[in-house]
Amino acid sequence: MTRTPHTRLRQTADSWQQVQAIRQLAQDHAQRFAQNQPSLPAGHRPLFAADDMRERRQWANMLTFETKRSVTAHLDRAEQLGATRRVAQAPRPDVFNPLMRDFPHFDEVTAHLQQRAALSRLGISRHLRLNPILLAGDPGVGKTAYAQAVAALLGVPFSKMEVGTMSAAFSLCGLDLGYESGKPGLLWDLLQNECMSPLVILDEIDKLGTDTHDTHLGPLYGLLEPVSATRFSDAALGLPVDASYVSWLATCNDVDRIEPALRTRFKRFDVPAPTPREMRPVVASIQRQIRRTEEWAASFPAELPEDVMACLCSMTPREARQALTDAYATAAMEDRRYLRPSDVFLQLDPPKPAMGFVSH
Amino acid sequence: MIEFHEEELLELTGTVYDLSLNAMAESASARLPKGWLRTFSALVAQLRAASHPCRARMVFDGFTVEDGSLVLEPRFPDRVVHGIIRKYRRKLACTCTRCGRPGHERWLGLSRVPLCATCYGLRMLQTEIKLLLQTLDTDEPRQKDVILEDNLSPRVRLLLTDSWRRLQPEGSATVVRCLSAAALEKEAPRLRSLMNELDKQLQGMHGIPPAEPGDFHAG
Repeated sequence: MTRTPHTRLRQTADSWQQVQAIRQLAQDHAQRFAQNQPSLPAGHRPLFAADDMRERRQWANMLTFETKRSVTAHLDRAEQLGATRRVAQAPRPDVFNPLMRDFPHFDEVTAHLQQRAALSRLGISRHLRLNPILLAGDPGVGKTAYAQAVAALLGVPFSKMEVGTMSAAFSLCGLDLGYESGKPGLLWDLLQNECMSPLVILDEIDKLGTDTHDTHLGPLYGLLEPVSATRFSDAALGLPVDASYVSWLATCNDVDRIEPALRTRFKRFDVPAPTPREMRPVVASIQRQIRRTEEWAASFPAELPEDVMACLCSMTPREARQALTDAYATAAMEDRRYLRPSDVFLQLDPPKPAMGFVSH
Repeated sequence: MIEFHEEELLELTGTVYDLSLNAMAESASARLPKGWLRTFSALVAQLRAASHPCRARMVFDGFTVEDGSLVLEPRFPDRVVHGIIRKYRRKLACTCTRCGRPGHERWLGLSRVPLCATCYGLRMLQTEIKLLLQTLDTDEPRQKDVILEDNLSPRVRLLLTDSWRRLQPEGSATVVRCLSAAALEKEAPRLRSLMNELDKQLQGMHGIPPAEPGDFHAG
């Protein structure tokens, strides 16, 4: 297109108007942005209020010497770390691709995580906030391993609670320091970190049962609700902290054994046992993990032979891990540096003797 | 019961011509861009002024906006009415759909929209900010280490006046200005907030497709 003097003139005027408009917009927006911008560092949120901290210190002064010393030490540590903490940023949805690869039978859960991450990324601060997730499935399908992989992928501090062995609510939410064994709970300890969005894995949550009337997981009812979690108080210290950014991931074998009020607070996913086709990447992932963690694994080839892989693909992930480790042990015993299909065998539980009368 | 002749009825209720004009005027606010409403009211006023018994039975079917221009084509052959419509259609083609100021047709993606320089600049700025923020999401860190000034659009450069770094390539006398990935990361919240504000401002731009990276056509 030939540019006539008129076209050039019009383009110059056009550009000048655009420049004026954009400069004006940038100037106005900068003022508004500066006014609305809190004095917090980027990506940080307040964990506790200064007034609450002051009130707790006054309360601590009225306690006995030993208790006061303990409370003050915890409050000091919280204040040293700062009243504001970093909130985990939502990763790009494609960051979850390794989960899709290593845990193909968890594709529904991974897709949910990707959606939540995409949603969180729409906000200016991109703070990650996940719904409580409940993974239900048969034993050994890799629920706990998946939960740990999610925590590692998000790069947030995480803690695993074996709910079946948990003694009482104070494991999670602390015990009054008036008691001899009183101390802050796991959640307080987790929040005393530079990041205030840790991931808590509640393993085997169904092992608690529905018939118990004690308060093992009583505080969870409040913690799983985002609104009430914004002012969570540890029983030992009583300082309200914002626990709404904590992500909860629970695993269970039998959903019906979880109390309905607790069950409905989670987004439930039924995890099927992986098919032999889906087991292939799972076995590859197990193999990679063994090579990463075990020194002796370097003596064997990195890739599994195809026939060994085929044997392992017919098992559950847990069985495959055990069988693979046993296979390496068998090969080592026979002074071999490679695996044979005959090394891979599944140790089945011996049949229990029948009780009562036995008919012959 | 009094029986009216058809002509008498038309005199009482208004002619079909007037009634169809009224219907068009009522639907204009919902169907036309905000910037065109004033000019379209003037068009309706002109057509109403041309109301005459000889046009009493003429009816306007309605109007549409297609590819940035008004489509109002009465089925009846009337040179006066067609002349008025032609005149105003040309006027609308160079009236900004957002603010009503003088403008001209510009490409936005695959559609043409009459826009003034200011509104077009803001709309393109929105697209370019979106594109720039996408560079932060790239998987290849090398690509996002430094963005040279020349690789940024002149509109975005106006927003990043304080973030430039001077760079002199080895063996070269020229000094180029560039934006480091860290500086862009620092500016990202402000740019995102600005983009959201532009989204809100430009949401009312009737008939303008939403901003998408790749909307780079000559204005």
